[in-house]
Amino acid sequence: MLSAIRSSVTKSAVLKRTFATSSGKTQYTSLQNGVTIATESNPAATSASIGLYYGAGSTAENAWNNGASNLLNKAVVGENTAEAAKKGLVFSANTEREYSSYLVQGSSSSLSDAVEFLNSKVASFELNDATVSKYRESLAQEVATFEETQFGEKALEHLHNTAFQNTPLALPKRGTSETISDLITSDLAKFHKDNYVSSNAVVVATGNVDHAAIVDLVEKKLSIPSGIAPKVAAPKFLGSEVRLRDDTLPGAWIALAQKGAAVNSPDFYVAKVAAEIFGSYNYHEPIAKNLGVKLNGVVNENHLADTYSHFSLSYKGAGLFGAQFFITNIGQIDDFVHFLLKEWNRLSISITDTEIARGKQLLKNKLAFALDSQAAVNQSIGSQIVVSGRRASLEEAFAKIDKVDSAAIKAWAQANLWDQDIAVAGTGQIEDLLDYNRMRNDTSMMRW
Amino acid sequence: MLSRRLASIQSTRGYATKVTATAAEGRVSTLTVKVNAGSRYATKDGVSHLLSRFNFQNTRSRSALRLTRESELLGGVFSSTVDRDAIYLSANFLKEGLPYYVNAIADVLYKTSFKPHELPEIVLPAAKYDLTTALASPYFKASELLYSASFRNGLGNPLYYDGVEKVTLDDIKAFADKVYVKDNVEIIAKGVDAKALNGFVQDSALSQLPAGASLAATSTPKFYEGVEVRERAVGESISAIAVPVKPADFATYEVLAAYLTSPLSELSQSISSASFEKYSQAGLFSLYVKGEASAVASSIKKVVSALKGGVNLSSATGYAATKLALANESAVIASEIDVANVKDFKLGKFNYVALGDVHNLPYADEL
Repeated sequence: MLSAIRSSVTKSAVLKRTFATSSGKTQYTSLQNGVTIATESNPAATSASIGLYYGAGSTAENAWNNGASNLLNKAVVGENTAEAAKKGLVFSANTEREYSSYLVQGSSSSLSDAVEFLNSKVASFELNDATVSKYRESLAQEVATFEETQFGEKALEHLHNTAFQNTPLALPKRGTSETISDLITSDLAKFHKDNYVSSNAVVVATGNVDHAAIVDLVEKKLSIPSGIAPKVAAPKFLGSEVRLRDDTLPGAWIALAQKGAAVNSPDFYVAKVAAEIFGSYNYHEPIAKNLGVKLNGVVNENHLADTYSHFSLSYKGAGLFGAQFFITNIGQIDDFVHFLLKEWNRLSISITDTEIARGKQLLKNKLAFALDSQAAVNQSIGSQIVVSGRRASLEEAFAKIDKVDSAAIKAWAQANLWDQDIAVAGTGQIEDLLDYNRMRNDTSMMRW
Repeated sequence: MLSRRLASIQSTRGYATKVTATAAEGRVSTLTVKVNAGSRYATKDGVSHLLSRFNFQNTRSRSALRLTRESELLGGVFSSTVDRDAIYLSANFLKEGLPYYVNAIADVLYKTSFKPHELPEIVLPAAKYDLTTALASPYFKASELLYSASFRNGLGNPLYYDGVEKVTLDDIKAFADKVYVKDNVEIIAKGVDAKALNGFVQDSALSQLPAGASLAATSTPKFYEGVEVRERAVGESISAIAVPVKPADFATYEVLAAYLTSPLSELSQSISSASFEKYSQAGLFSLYVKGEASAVASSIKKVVSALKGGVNLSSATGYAATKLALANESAVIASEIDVANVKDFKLGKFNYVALGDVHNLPYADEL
């Protein structure tokens, strides 16, 4: 669910347009072997997408096979994209913490081909040593490059690692270059055999598709081995910090979070609204001076941060509420963290109705416009069903957001933020990032 | 079309502005005003970019602060972007906000104050930020050089304001007066009721825009081919080629770009990026190889000689059609290209840019 938060005040590079299938009716069927099928039909679409989702990402790994889901994903895509393209199909895949997805897109007449493709190339993918070693080196290189260039993301990865230490959510979702280099064919084969099973699988079709036809196709052509996926241990939040100071980098990238809401928590939308109240910020964008966020005043005046972005990330059994930020004014990191946490304090005591109303409206906008392509809709449906067992329609989400009020925000914040532990991860020039206890003390005030 | 289209209605009743409204179920709408005022129509280099950055600043009816605060409470987000063809003023909002957003965008077109302090304090720093961000990518530098080599003027104008040619507030105002006229703007709305939209447009300042000629290009601009540009720069090296394209050949280059970036082509291993950018009456196909100079040199030689020998594109038409359909579903304006009949491609004359460690990059006549 990380993708949901990547937004900033910067102008959108690509113009987005409305995309109305999000309100469309999703139809569900569960097959006897345990596979769930969900479709959202849009007769006006010229194309169709079919996705196969497994509820297994990095949380289904352990310290010894970390990166297996990512490498499996890369091998499947690398070996088969050319064949898909020959048939006029666009094949892509994705690994997240709690799921892996495989998406085939083509014309609506190619659906049969697409399901056959998913069956032969994903569900019954045959691994051999040559294939694994071919992709192992390039993936290890790719992950190493990520760690050397994407510092904001890297801080967020380390935030998960420290906040959920010793639980499955701590594992890096991409793996590390060391763990990936050590993977062998049997690691991947075992991961495939254990996790890519029927009770753990969801098929989602979107675009110009017909539910009955899809159910028929999947029943006939997609054979996913039946079985129950191994149980994943419950995550647990632990206040802690990790510092990767590197004074050669041109700034400081820091992520800071407190306990958030899990996917099926009644507070899911409360935490989302709370994150949207502060939203995201870019010092260089003129609109930053005008946004209705109190924090921006002091940040703008003193250039305390270059960018920041608040998030409410939700996983099975745990979540993170927090912000990630990039600072070039490295002498005032302590000031930024102080004012940030003082603003979070207000969620518990004095958040205003106007701020909440604003947050609710912007959250609705964000949820609706995140579904800006067929791949995004497919992924939204598939990932939510496979992770939380169901998918809230946009109507339902809007209704729940409407119900969030200041009493709900305050109750949630008093339980989860006020005088509660924090997790911190930072890289770059973070000399000025205060000692853990100083930050922890800022989660409450001496006055109410 | 990703939206469930119920009806798409075009109308120009009562005013010369073209309005395209697509109804859709769902809770959100998008309103885009496309103004033929991209960098190709700029009166001075960068004036389009600066005008785009002036959008959503203070107007005579609303301050920028009020506009932002009101819009937030209605659940909407504005953006103004510029490309070579047009400036796009856009609003993404919850459906019930339509009257407000039509009115707000209309006021931006008709009533922007252009206050003298806004240019140095707000617009120029923002424009500089855009340029700095873009220049961080060597692709952007190479692409600017390729456009300039292929078209010289018009499409060859720089996309962003770089301060080489000074632009004053009066230049921006004059450009705004020239481009924000009835015949030169087009309204594209998705997820709205066409009749309601027409009503709101009539009631807004959009119906009061002065009459004036459309700037949209009606003929293909002059192409320049066989040009070579070399520029020293630190960082990764790039060798890039570009071919200006007539509208009749759009389909071929659409398939070519899809083919060269897919595993269907052996060459995709050597190519860092390939794209085909379409504009009114002309397009530019460009291909980039990026990396360490000696590796770039051998790759670009291999790619160009293979393309000169000709490639068969018929195997990639299905793939390209799918890519195009998916892109159209998310695009503001869908491109109507039929790629089914594309056969093969042979590289003829092209423009060439070497950027970076040029000492170790090949010359165009060595390719």
